[in-house]
Amino acid sequence: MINSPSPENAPHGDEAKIDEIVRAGPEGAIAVAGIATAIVVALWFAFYLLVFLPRSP
Amino acid sequence: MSSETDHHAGEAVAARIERRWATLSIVIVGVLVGMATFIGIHQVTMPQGRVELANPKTLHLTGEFVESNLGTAVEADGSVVVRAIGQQYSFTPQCIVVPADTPVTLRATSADVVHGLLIERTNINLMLVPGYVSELPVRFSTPGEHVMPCQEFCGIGHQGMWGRVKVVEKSAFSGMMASRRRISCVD
Repeated sequence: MINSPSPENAPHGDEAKIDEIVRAGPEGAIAVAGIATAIVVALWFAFYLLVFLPRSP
Repeated sequence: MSSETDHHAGEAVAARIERRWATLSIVIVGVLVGMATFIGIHQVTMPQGRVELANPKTLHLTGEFVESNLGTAVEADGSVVVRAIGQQYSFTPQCIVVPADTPVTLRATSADVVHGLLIERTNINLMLVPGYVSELPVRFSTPGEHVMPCQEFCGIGHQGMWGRVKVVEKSAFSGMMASRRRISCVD
């Protein structure tokens, strides 16, 4: 069977498991997005404070 | 029934996380824009406070950008003013002399198309738009030489449009100014 079963046909246990995971919140996504955003913001501040401001008149 | 309740609980969690993430994004953008605005107003880096016009058709004939008035001058009130023109494909004067650790007003315009004026190792970065005078208060802390390329594509010779800025000690600058009214390091 190539296609996976549609959600309607999924066994009741699986759906409950999915709901439980969703209820726990997207911790992994928050970690990845948080680290990526922190790196970008840190680089912005690094350029602003270490490059831009020292070159100001 | 309990499955449906669980489903709604999951949706509520996702919606809450999305709202928090959106709030965080807005706060980050607000901080960055706030810092840029503060430095722009506090250090008067941009935008220019007032609009001044200069007719490119008569630039070389009359007004403050005639050739004899270009270069660095000490005004009657003691302030140092640099006047320059950008044209395809050079700056006039090609080399500018300024005193170190002194407030300098940079005034420039374009004689033909849009040019850019950027002095490397500084935050000095101006657009030269035909018809308008670009003015920027600047200060060079230490003596040295900087290159000044055109940073706006202005035609096929754009890559060859480079000027230079020579920052000299205050005393050396006074000595140079004693003998003439306008100076540049091309002289």
